[in-house]
Parts: sequence; structure tokens; C-alpha cells
Amino acid sequence: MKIWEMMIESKLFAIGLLILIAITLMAIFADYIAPYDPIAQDFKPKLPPSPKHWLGTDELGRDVFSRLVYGSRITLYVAFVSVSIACLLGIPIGLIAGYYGGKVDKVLNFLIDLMLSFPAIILTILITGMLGPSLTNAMIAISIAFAPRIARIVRGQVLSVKEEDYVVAVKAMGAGGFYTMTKHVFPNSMAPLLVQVTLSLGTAVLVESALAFLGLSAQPPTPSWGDMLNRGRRYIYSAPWMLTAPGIMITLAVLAFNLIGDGLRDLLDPRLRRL
Amino acid sequence: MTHPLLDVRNLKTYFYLRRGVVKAVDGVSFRLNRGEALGIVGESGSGKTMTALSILRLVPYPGKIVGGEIIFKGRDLLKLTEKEMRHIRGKEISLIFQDPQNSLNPVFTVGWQVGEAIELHSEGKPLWDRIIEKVINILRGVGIPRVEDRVNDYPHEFSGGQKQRIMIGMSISNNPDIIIADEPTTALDVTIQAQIIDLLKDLRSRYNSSIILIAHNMGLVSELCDNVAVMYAGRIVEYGSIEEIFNDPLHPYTRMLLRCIPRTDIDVDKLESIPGEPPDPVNPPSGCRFHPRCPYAKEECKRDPIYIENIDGHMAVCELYRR
Ligand SMILES: Nc1ncnc2c1ncn2[C@@H]1O[C@H](COP(=O)(O)OP(=O)(O)O)[C@@H](O)[C@H]1O
Ligand SMILES: [Mg+2]
Repeated sequence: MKIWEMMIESKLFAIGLLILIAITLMAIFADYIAPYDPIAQDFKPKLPPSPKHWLGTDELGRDVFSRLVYGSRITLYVAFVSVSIACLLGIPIGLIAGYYGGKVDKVLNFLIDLMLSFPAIILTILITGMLGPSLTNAMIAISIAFAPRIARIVRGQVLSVKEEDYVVAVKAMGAGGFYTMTKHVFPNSMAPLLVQVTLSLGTAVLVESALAFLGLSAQPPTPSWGDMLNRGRRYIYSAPWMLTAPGIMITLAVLAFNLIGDGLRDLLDPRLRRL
Repeated sequence: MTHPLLDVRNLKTYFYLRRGVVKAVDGVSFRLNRGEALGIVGESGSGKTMTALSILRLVPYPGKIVGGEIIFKGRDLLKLTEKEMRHIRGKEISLIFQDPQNSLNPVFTVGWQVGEAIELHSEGKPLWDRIIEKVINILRGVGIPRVEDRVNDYPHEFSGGQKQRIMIGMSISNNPDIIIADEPTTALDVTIQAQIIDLLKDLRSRYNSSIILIAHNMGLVSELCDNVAVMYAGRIVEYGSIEEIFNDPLHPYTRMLLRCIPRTDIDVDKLESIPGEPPDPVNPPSGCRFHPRCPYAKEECKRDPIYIENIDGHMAVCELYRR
């Protein structure tokens, strides 16, 4: 199915995709969109929204809108990089566990279950706590926390796909185990993985924001939505725009990924899809 | 006498489940000569598919081949390494599955998949154009119309009968010595069934390949096979030439099967007319496993060992013939 066919078929998928495209464009063209330097403390602190400062200024006199625009970079960067790394770790683990089964599967599945028994947030806080607060460590933590989620989806899919006649048929034609697994089992395990990856991107945005909120991710003065949220919390009565703006952006970003993920889930008919 | 092409001796394939051991194949022996077509007939659950998968050593977990020998061209397949076995699969012995709806991978074109079957057994790396040329010839040979336009179509764009033709094409693509067809028509419409059997007959006369045709009714094998093995609950209960089995069936189970040949004009191919239930695979009856359903059952039938009647290669495992 073509992307635009999918957008016509599912309005929510379309809305999610449009929001994501908007945020992505914002991140790419931040230099052109942001009216001011996001770091420079050039203005009076806590100015309310006005034509000059659409979303006001923060307690250090920085333009909130400019920080918001640049903040999208961190958010998307962390989400995409850490979920990609999670896939690089999780997909092979899930494939091996599901395909080879037996003792290998027992051990890997135990480790997956063990890690999944911690909520993602707790696990990432734990890991960044151990590694020290920084953007890189936040990404490492998110990757590690999400890898077992990816692995579990892949494993479950592989377990059912490997019993399919066409997989047995390929082996009956003389294909080896590794070839069968990568060439035939994996592509047929893609649909739920794609959904999981999209939903994970949403969760990663949320987790990164939480880490930044706790000061465990990108360090000031780097503009990040979580950090902005944390600052805004302190001035919630005197400068409510400081909290509202990043709050809405985080919500929109998470919503976008969830809408896309749910849309994909409804749209990917495993019989008719061509990946 | 020359050596048979395939000599299965006392094959045992068991499934180890939590509730017990399923002896899916329990001491099966048969021979297949070059150019011969052998039918294996039995109700569903009698172990036909597991016999086929055992020959290719593809028994699914938690099943295991626990005994016997499978002598193919003088070598015991059960003693080969996995790598040696890969050269046998698809190249020397190929398998056609019961349900063509699901035996082709939905994400690849059929041309690619048949080509893959050829490429898996090619020396070096032949040009893909060459392979596709071969694929087109093969698919034309199994009766796919307008092949050139269709090699790049996906499986779901073909009908069930066409998919089975494609599978058959794939199975002959490397000129194997043996083609095992596991109920190749069961999932198809009656009219298509006849066409598929005609295709197999045609291929048989063209390539002189040996065929093992698995079926759950006698009608199908009578069209194609020279010899028939009748399976019940993991064992062969009767074996003989098609004429002997049809004209002079020995085992009561065989006789029942023969009474249940479906008519091709109406779509009833279930063996519902055999009275009684198939045995519980975990706790099969003692002695002759058919005795609870057998109208001629006597006390002796419950005991092991059971009597084997053997006249000129026509064999039946039954107490009725003890004198
Ligand atoms: N995956 C499995 N797990 C447990 N038992 C199985 C499995 N596959 C087959 N069996 C058992 O093996 C026996 C033979 O099955 P099969 O060879 O498929 O029969 P047929 O092909 O004659 O219908 C059946 O009794 C079935 O219960
Ligand atoms: Mg079967």
C-alpha cells in the first residue's frame, strides 16, 4: 500500500503523520524558523507572549518559541537514534530466540522478561543514574530499555511465522537455517514490528522528556522540551507559558507516533501487504 | 534384485508432549524403486505427513526421529550432517505441501521463489536472467497461462489450483529423484483436483520421477500409483500393488477405506463413513491399533505381537490370517 492510500483510508493515521512531518520540518529548518538564538539570554525574564515573543520568555530571558523549535531536534534525535539502536539490539535477539528455540530461547526470554518487569522510565532512570546524566547516556539508557520490547515482538512473530508452511517449504527446498530466518521469517514478522517501533518512538519521546525533566538527559543550556517543562514548573503561576508550550509539544509528538502506530496496526493486512 | 531407491526401515518419529508420548510414526518400513509411484493412504492423524517430513528430516519440535533407517541411494539419511541433508532436500527429494494457499511466501513474487529453489542448488552464482528463463519454462510446463506476464506476480494473485501448480513446478525444478506429494489436492475444489492429478501423471511420464503420493482416500492413489501402503495410527497395516489392494484387500481397515472412495461429482472427501473414532495418539490401543473399530476383532488382536501375512510382496498386519 502506498502511504497516501493509507492516509486516505485512516484519518487518524493521516493526522499523526502530518503532525510528525510538521515537527520534523521544525527540527530540520530550526535555524530559519526560530526568530532568536535559543541560548542567548537577550531579553527581560518572564515576558508574557506578545507579537515579539510569541510564547514569551523564560526566567533567564530566553525566547521560549525559539527554544521550543530547537528542542524538537533533541526530541526527534533521541527518539530515532535510541529506537534504532534498540532495534539493532532487539531484532537479532528476538530472531535468534524465536527461530532457534530450546535452551537459547529459554535464557534470552528470561532476560527479556526480567528487563520488561521494570517500567521503561524506572529502567532508564536507573541506567542514567549509574552512567551519569548526559544526552548520550540518556540515549544509551533508552536503547537498553527498549531493546527487550523490540526483541519480544520479533520473537513472538518469529515463533508463529516459522511454523508457516512456506517456511517449512523453503527448508524442504534445501535452504539453511540462517538464510531461512533472515530471508523468509524476518520479512513476514515486519508488520507488528513496524507498529511496535512507531509506538516505541512515542514512548521514547516521553521517556526522554522525563529524563530531561529530571535533569538526566541533555544538560543546560541545550534547549530540550523536558528541561523547559522542568523550568516552567517552578514558575507555573508567574509565567504559565513556560510550562504550557513544551507540555503541548511533548503531547503532540507522543500523540503523532501513537496515531501512526495505531493506524499502521489497522492498515497492515498481513496477507496483502508488500514490504 | 536391485537396490531400491529409497528404503525406509522401521522408522520411528515420536512427539514428546507434556501429557505423554505421541508415536506419530511407529515402526514404518517401505521401499520405493526408481520410477515407482507409491501411495500412502490413511485417515488424517495416521502419521502420513510425519513420515514425509521424517524422510527430509524436517520433523517439527517437539517431534524427534527416534529410530530406524532411511536408506536413500545407499546412504542412511539419518546419519548425514545437516549440511549434507540440505543438498538432498529439494535437489534429490522434494516435497509438495497439502495447502497451496500457505506454501508460498506472501512477500515475494512467485518467479523469485521458483528461481530461489533453483539458485539454492546451483553451482556458483548463475545469472538471474538465466534462472528466470528456466523458471518461465518450468511454470509453462506445469500449465500456468501467460507465464511471462505472471512471473512477477505475488502468490495472492493466483488461484489455489495455480498455486499448487507453481509448487509442483518448484518441486520438479531441480529434477529430483523423488517427489513426495502430501495430499496435494485435499485443499482444492474437486474439478481442480483432477487437473492436479493429471499434471502429476503427465510429469511422471515425462520425467520418470519416483513419486510418493500421500492421500486420505483410495480414489486418488488409484489414478497414479503402482503400489499402496495403508497407514493406521503410525503403522503400515497393509501394503501391496494397486491391483492387489483393490481386488483383494486383506486388512479390514483397507476394506473400509475402499468402501469410502468419494465420488468425484460430489464434494465429500471426508472419511466420515468409517465407524468409530481414530485412536487417542497418546494412548493407542494395544496389539492391533485398529481392533476397537474392527468388526472382526478377536481376543488375540489386543495382544502384541500381531500376525503378519505376506504373499508375494502383498503384506497385511492382521490376526485374521493366522491359521
Ligand atoms: N506439532 C505436533 N505436536 C504434537 N503432535 C503432533 C504434531 N504434529 C503431529 N502430531 C501428531 O502426529 C500424528 C500424526 O500426524 P500427521 O503425520 O500430521 O498425520 P496425517 O498427515 O496422517 O494426517 C498425529 O496423531 C498428531 O497428533
Ligand atoms: Mg497430513
